[in-house]
Amino acid sequence: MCAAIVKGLQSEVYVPITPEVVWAPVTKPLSEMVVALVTGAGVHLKSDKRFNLAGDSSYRIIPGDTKSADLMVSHGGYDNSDVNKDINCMFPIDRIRELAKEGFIKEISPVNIGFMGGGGDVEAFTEVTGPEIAQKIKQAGADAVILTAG
Amino acid sequence: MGIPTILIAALPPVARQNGAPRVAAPKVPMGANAGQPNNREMQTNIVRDTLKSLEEIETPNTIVSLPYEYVAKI
Repeated sequence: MCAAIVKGLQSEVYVPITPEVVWAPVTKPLSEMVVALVTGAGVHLKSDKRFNLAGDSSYRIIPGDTKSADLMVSHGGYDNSDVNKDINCMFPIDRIRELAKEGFIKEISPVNIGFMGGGGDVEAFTEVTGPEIAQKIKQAGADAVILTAG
Repeated sequence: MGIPTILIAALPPVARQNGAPRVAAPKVPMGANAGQPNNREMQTNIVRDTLKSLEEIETPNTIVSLPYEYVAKI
């Protein structure tokens, strides 16, 4: 008996591949850290342009001194009812400022970011939006980022 | 040098699959990752513990469960 070998066979079942983890070490204590918030939950200033709910790979800058009442969400991919009651449950900007006031961290980053995750042009997010956000956060002098999404 | 990050995730298995370096996972529904709306104490605890986890996690792709629970009435 002879076993047939067929080259190039692929599973019909889609198997997601976990990308290599990008790891940046922590280099200073929390009390000396400027902390930025970055969210895929569609948070932006009420005065800013809404996201296109059909898919949008742009992002919005949220200054660190923004009043939470001046923020809103436009995102078509999750139930917005909690975040419409209190933006902090997805974008805890007031909590971060309180932790800075008590000295747990140094301060909130002057630049924080909202974008609309959960779909859209994944290639644009990976190759353009993501690197641009990282650049903005770095220029703002942030030492760490808290992300909310998914 | 990159910037260290930690994700507050409502769906931690998805975060693991996507290769997130550090994950804090309170028991929350998607849409209230940082805790119940208008519950300042829960939100503060989640954010504080998330920041502590940022400092403490040493192994990439680690998920830390946080002992806070919010069941949304949706």
